[in-house]
Amino acid sequence: MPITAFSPAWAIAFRDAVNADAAYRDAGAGWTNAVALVVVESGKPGINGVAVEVDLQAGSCLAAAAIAPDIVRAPFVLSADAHTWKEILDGADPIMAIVRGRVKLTQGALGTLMLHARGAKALVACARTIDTHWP
Amino acid sequence: MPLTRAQTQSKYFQLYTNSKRLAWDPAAIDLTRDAADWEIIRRDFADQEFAKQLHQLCAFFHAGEESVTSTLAPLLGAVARLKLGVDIECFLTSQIYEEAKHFEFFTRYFHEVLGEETSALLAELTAAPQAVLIDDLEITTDRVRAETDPARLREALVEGVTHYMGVVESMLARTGYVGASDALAARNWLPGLQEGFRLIRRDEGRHVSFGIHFLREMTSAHPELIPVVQNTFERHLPNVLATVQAFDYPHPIVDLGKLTQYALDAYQQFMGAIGLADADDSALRDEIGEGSVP
Repeated sequence: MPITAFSPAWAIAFRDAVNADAAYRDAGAGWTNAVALVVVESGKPGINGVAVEVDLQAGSCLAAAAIAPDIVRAPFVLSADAHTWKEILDGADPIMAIVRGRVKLTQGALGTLMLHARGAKALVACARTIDTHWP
Repeated sequence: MPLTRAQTQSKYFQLYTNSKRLAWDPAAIDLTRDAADWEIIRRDFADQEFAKQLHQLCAFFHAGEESVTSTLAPLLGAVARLKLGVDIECFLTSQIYEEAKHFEFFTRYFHEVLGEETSALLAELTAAPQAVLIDDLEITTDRVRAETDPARLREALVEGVTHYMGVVESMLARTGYVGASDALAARNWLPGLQEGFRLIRRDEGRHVSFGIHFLREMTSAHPELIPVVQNTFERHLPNVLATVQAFDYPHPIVDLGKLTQYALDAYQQFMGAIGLADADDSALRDEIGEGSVP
């Protein structure tokens, strides 16, 4: 059964998908930071104003939770509207989305993030394995 | 200051020696077919704006090469004032000569193939390339020129080398030359420009190799300088990526996704080669090898 994107159940499914993925274990081995993916308010129907924070340590996900954007504490925060996140989960290149400014790095160093672009792509690939529902 | 026997065996002196062996003359490149090709590209591919894109690429290269020709001397002067080694001075002297040749090549290309003066080209630069290729590099190297305190001069020099050889040459120039070379080779267009790109890329390989060795040595001897390298990339990355995005056309002559990925790979490989990132730098080393082998 599809899980609503950025819901608490989706965050758990994301965590499990990351921990089950050999490609992320390899590509994300050098990444030791929590990351928050924020769905910004777009004023349109659908998902708005929610974040999923994932604690990523050396190729695995220690914890994941859906939280309000104002309590995000992750050192790296990526923000976009729901439409953009859906495009990415449907196959758009997440790095190009950052480069083009469609996804904004609202917290954290771009240089550090771009050193781990392969890990970021592998992380998104994990999210794509979830049967996701977009209201 | 004498050149010691040990210095003549150094990596820097080896790069200098290769520069002498691999010298070439921009005036000797045959551009006769390029003028005919250019007319075909303008006439037959007007809808795809290929001529506009190639013109923009050449304008960026011309501006970049002009900028790096005039901003390297302060880095050479700082090396001398810090007494870092005559072997390094020899290499940087050869690099200034090479940058002048690259600048000459693009000037000649505009005059003889594109049929225009270069005085108006700077107007083609949008804010991001203007900043990262010209203005910020000038500010950084001016600071290097003016600094008198040895510790601050060392820091400014590391920032300058990171900006010059890391950001401009490794990320932007390599990306541009590889992307443009591939696009032209696939269409068998502008053989003179392709030859110029090939020779410039070979030179750039040595310059990037210098930057890697210099920054690895400096950050190894002075770990407090590591954040200087990291912060310099951090500061200029947005403008690098925005410069690449300037080639986002409906019918791109160079695939923008590939171009962006190449720039990011270049960044990762450069940081990996300095020892500041856990990244595979084999592709960069292959290219540097091409520039270093006689």
